[in-house]
Amino acid sequence: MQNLYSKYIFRLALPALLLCGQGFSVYAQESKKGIIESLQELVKINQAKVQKLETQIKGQTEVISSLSDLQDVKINPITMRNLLFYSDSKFTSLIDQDECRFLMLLESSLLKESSQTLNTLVVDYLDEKKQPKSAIVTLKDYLEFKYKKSCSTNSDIKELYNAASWKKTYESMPFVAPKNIETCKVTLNKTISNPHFPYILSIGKVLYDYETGSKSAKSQLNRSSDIASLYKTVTENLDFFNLNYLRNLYQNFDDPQEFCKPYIAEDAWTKSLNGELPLYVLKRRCELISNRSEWDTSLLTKCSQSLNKKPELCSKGDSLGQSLFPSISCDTISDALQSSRLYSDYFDCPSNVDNLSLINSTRVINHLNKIPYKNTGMCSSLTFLNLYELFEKAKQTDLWRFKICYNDRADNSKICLPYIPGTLPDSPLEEGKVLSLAMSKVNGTPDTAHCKIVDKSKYNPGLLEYSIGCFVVTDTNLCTPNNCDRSIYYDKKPVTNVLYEGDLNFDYFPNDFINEQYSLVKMITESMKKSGKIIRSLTDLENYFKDFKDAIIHGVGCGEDLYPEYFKKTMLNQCMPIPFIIDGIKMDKGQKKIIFHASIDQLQSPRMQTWNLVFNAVSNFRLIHPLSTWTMYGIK
Amino acid sequence: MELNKILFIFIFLASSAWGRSELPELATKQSIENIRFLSKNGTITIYQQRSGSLYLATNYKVFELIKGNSDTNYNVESSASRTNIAIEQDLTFHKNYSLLKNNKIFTLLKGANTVKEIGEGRYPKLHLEDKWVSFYKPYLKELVFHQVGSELEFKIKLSNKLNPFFIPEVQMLSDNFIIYTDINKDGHTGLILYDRRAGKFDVILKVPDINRKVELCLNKDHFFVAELGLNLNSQKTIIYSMERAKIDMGKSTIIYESDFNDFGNLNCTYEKGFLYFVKNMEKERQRTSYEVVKLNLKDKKVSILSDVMFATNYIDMDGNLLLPYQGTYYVLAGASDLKKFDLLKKQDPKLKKENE
Repeated sequence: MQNLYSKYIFRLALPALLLCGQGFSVYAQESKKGIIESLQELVKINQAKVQKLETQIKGQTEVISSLSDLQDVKINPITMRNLLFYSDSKFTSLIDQDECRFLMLLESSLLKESSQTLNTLVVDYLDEKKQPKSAIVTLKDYLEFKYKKSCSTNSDIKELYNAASWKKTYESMPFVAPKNIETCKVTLNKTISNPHFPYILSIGKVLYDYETGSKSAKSQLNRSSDIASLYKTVTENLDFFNLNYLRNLYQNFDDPQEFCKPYIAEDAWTKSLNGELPLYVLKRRCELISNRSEWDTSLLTKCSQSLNKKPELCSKGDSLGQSLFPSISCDTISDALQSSRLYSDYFDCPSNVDNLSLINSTRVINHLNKIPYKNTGMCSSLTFLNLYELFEKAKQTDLWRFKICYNDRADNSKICLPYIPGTLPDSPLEEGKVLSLAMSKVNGTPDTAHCKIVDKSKYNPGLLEYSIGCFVVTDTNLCTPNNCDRSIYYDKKPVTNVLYEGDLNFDYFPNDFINEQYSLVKMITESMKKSGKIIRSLTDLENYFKDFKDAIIHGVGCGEDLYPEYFKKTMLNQCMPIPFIIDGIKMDKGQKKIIFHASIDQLQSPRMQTWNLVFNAVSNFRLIHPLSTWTMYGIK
Repeated sequence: MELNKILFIFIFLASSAWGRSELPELATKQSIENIRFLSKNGTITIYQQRSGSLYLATNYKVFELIKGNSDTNYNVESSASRTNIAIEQDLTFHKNYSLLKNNKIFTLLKGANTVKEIGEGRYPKLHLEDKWVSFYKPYLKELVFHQVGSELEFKIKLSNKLNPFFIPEVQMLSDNFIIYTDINKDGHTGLILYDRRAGKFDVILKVPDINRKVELCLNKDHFFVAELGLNLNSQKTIIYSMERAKIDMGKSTIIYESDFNDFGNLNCTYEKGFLYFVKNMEKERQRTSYEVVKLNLKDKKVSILSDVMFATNYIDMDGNLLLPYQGTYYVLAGASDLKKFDLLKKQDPKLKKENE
């Protein structure tokens, strides 16, 4: 009904008012230029009337000391007409018959007389001689005057929405994302009927004006300390979901379909944008397809629209040559993500790390910790750092496999220092730093001379930049801890008395009883005090997820059975072990599918896999496992 | 009668749903998990032990072929020619789950009991009646072709930069003509014919969709090319056939088409006139399902060989067609009971002295 009112009645009434004008103004008779007039003509006529009114008012010599001394004070009809003309019809539609609401709208700056914010009004009144007169008063004075006579509760309500109090007020009426369009419309109507509604809208207005306004508009807003502090406190205290709700309410309360769209959307990208799924779900996906790292609301909205319109963006744009290609489409990923629980607010790079056990282990650790990476550095280096922290926690750092070794100058004993391969500016274990330290011990070079990793195609000792300092020269495209040809140079001279040692050999699940405690899974469960549960059937899986909302399942299976479309078996007992994580289950076209992350896939791209294929893969791997272990466990 | 029929169908469906097969299980005297090769008649067995060593057992004699450690695993590749064998040794199989690391590649000539190390790589494959072996170096993205019994070798470098886990399909038409698959910078799979003598590369097929792969199969007379979808973004399977002597996609015939993505794994050498592969049975069963089938190249009829609902692979092990499923090997075709031929005992020291 409200929509009908704003859409039709006001839009018909407005030109009618301007065209006829008889009941509203002494000057109405002057505007008879014909029935059909263009809007520009109407605006010109109106502007002429306003100018005439202003001239008339300026001519008055009386000074209004106080509105309360005056009789019959009303807003001048031309001013009223301007308010109706210049204000957005969705706000004028809220006026209804309720004077208090009208005053709230005025006070919240939701109505305006021109393109500028409303600060003054022209009022008509009767002087002592009962003669009609007009005067310009400030909006503040007018509202004060009105609130003394009627709608006194408005000022109390206004206080509830200032910078100090709004948070408590807002928390008393939380918005819960509706599940369907009917619930959404009911919720919306309830919100609109709320007596506080214009003040709720005003918060959305502040967000909108700050975020979409021009620089000059923003500086104008900043001059009002109330508004600036309200914006600051709102954005600091509300989460993304609620901020988006307020913006959405302000922009779309008059269009239920548009307002409800984000909440009844089926795709993960819109749900992430409106806060139903973590924001990083959309953000990380957008980073994958565009290489941009800074994202604001508007860019994220555009990105989510692109993902919905072009599902192929995820198949191709998913890989930087570091994970299985092609991936799947954005809509399939979106379907899977809605039933996924694996923490994925970071990137890892399967092929750069090379040993897939390490990728899977860090995915499990990061899910259990749910702490975003603090350090910056190479993608693979962050995975190794994560793993080193596990070894520290398990008090097994002596088992860390990457070492830079030298012979001590004093007694020629072999000394090995642990390092993390690659670039990690914030960590003392960074390869370059440890190498510098080792070289300082054996060659007397300064330990502050940080060794840089350089691609062999770029290294040229003839150039000044490479003639001084320490460089580790390698083919950076090919270098993984399993396969890396390195040469070390210091001031152009090869360094041969400092050596790299180590390999990527780690047990994921125990491969023998003697070294059981040193397997990655054992270290994770014991040092992080987690428990594991064997998962042997789909029923086990379903019950496990039902009982433990945040638990995940991890395992190892033969790649030829997990992904037979990519890998095929041609030899007896052939198996390429691929660790994986299962983090959900959903019905898809009448069949149960598990949400599956193979360690060779991009972390943010889960697949919907058939249970039977996973079971087959784990069974076939068990056949050749040294302990015949069933390698599929839940962890929580 | 009707009740029996219903009961039969119910039992069949129930057993299918449980994934149990009516096919015979492969019976071997030794635990199947140790065996890496078993000849059709069972006279030759290659197996590994917990120590990590690989052994050859034949004619009541056992030879240690390669030494290893407890983390070692072997892949043993044979071909329809049944002449030579290629062996891949992964020394860190149980400790280093890498799809990219290089493993040692060996060849074992027919009748021999010692191996020769020929290089490092992955996925060895025998060609041209086992006279050549190819293998792949994932880090360098290089295909290596080695002539068995000699030092002759050549390499082909791939263009692929997008999929680090890509395994190229390879077929040698002759000593000089090689067909293989590659991925270009846009992610499209191409089929390339390499003329070794002229040093020329000719793209004979380019798949316009990044969500599709190509598989190859070569026998004495024909060359088969399968185009298969990798996911739901591209659902279709097409198999082309052409004469081996005239490799030309323009002159090929489509011998099979499906609106679903089959898994593939083509075998065109097991039985003359038939092509074996793993087929998507969703259309026939109205649910996700895969079985091993054979396509009659004459009448194009497809016969289902397996009955497990979720077959992913099958193996042609020296003339026995095997289905590995949930840790058991079922026999699709060939002999199932190889117990009496498979040998466990090491050579008796007394016998050894007599023979010397």
